[in-house]
Amino acid sequence: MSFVNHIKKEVNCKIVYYGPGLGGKTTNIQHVYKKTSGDNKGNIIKLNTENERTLFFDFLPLELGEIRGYKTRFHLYTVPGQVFYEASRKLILRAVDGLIFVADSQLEKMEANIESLEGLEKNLIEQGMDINKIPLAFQWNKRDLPNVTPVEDLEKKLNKWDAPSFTGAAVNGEGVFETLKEVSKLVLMNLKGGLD
Amino acid sequence: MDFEKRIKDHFNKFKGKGTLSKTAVLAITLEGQVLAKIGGHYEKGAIQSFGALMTGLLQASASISDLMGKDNKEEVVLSYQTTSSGFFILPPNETNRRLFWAFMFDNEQNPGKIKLYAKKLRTHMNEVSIIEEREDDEILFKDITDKELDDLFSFAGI
Repeated sequence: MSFVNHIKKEVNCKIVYYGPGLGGKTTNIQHVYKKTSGDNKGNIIKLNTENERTLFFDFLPLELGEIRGYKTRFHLYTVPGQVFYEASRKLILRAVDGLIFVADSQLEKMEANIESLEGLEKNLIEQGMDINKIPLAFQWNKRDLPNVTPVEDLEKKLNKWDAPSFTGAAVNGEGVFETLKEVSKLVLMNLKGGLD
Repeated sequence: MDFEKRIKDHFNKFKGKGTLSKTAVLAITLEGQVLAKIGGHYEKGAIQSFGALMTGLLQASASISDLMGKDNKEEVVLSYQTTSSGFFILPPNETNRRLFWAFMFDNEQNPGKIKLYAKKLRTHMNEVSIIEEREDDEILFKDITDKELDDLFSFAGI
């Protein structure tokens, strides 16, 4: 749930990167961290297994500057992609304001993408949330690799909501900020209420 | 009065009932945002990380408790401590359901004293309403423009 402080004029939002294991979620926020100056970012937190796979979540606080006098702060989280970390994924989704689904474009990963997306829908429902009401964008990642699924097929099989989508190669930074910017816009356009 | 000041005012009133010279006290929302920090020497970046990690800990513990079939989460104190340093996390505040407290201490001769103090503070804070949520449905940035977004992300060169 976003957090608006009207007296201090601050907005805080939570964006979660979701998707199959080894799809590039952590690479996305690592790129954001690398390209953001020290004044705008906090520490990047990674809770990893011994072989550098995400165990619980990655976290990056990002201060984007002011919009209409309000200081905007985004908390970026990734979920662990491996199938058996379902319980952790549910926790990270709590109070989410915006979602970025990072799909792996490689042909052989289509089933994993579909399974992850179905898991996302199910986990949101269990938390009383509706994917149709949450700002969502897709990133078709790993477009730099050979043997990738055509974008039209990814759109057809995964993007049934006709959500904004971007091609990417997060390892080179391609598509990373474009996707984040779009979701940020959708999140900010939905902000209401707040605390006094 | 904003809620950060309300938190600090209530804390200072309560502080007279005990001492916390080497302890940082954090008021954290269930979304992981630190609403107020009282005392301690930690930098801003570290404070944000504490908020995210402690919320994760709290939520993971609540899930484990659910799986165990326990419903007494209100009484739980999460802790990580050596003989002189560590932290305690208290369950969400009953009156202000979006808020919980964390106590971080260092070079403390008697950590048990901090735990006792923390529980008393939680009881005190349960008696006062700190968080006031706006009921209005007015959208803050309904007509946000591409130019405004471009300015926000100008640092990334896109």
